[in-house]
Amino acid sequence: MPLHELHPDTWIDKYADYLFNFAITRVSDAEIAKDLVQETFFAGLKSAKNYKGDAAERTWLIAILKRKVIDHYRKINSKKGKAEVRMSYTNTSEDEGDWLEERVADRSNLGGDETIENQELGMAIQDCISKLPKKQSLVFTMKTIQGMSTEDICNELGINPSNLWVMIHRARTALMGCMNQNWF
Amino acid sequence: MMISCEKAAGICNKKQYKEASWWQVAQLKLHIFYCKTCNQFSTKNTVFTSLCDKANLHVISKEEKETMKKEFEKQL
Repeated sequence: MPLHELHPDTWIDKYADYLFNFAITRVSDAEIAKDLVQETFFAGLKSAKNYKGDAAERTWLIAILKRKVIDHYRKINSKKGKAEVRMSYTNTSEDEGDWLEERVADRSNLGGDETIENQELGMAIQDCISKLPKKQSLVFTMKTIQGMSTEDICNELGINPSNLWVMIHRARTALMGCMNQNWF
Repeated sequence: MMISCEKAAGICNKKQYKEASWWQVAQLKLHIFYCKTCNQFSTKNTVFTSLCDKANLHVISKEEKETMKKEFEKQL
């Protein structure tokens, strides 16, 4: 009996934003990142029969996404011409000869300490958001990440401002609790 | 001028999104001056806001997710 099972019908709601944040910090382009996430879901579906259930669903999808990021860099490299291949994904001489795979996996190669910390922070917050009840996470995301006005959110969701602030309060309290151990 | 902890928390949340009036902020400041619990909550809430800013989070918009879902359902 495998430990985990796949539920592809819930993937987009559950993991799209998490995967999107992972991708966007590595390709720095929202459109490309979105495409990579979409491709990841397709690839996941295709190879679902190979899923052994050892890793959690999300971990498994992240592993696929990593390959997609690598493929993306390979593709743009082959377009650029061979002379540029080595330089295009690394610009310091000490990294020369490193495998492309290592560069994707290894956070220490992504940039300055602060950048890495912010990326980890982003994933940690996203992780906590995904644990919120659906409505709370929706309201929190619209308000905090998309920066929508209270009025717009209320209109879109058909709630009144005091409902909204109650949900914001619950979401923020839960998120602070979830983030507490590591980030405060 | 005196407000309840519940009201203070509400103002504190609005303040995180710059939606509290100066009068509300003044009430909150007075409240957290003598209420230790709300003082802690307010500090933590403000730190959390700065963490969210620092993390530079992104989301896929609702419409784009719908498009994604439609594409995905074709494969299911």
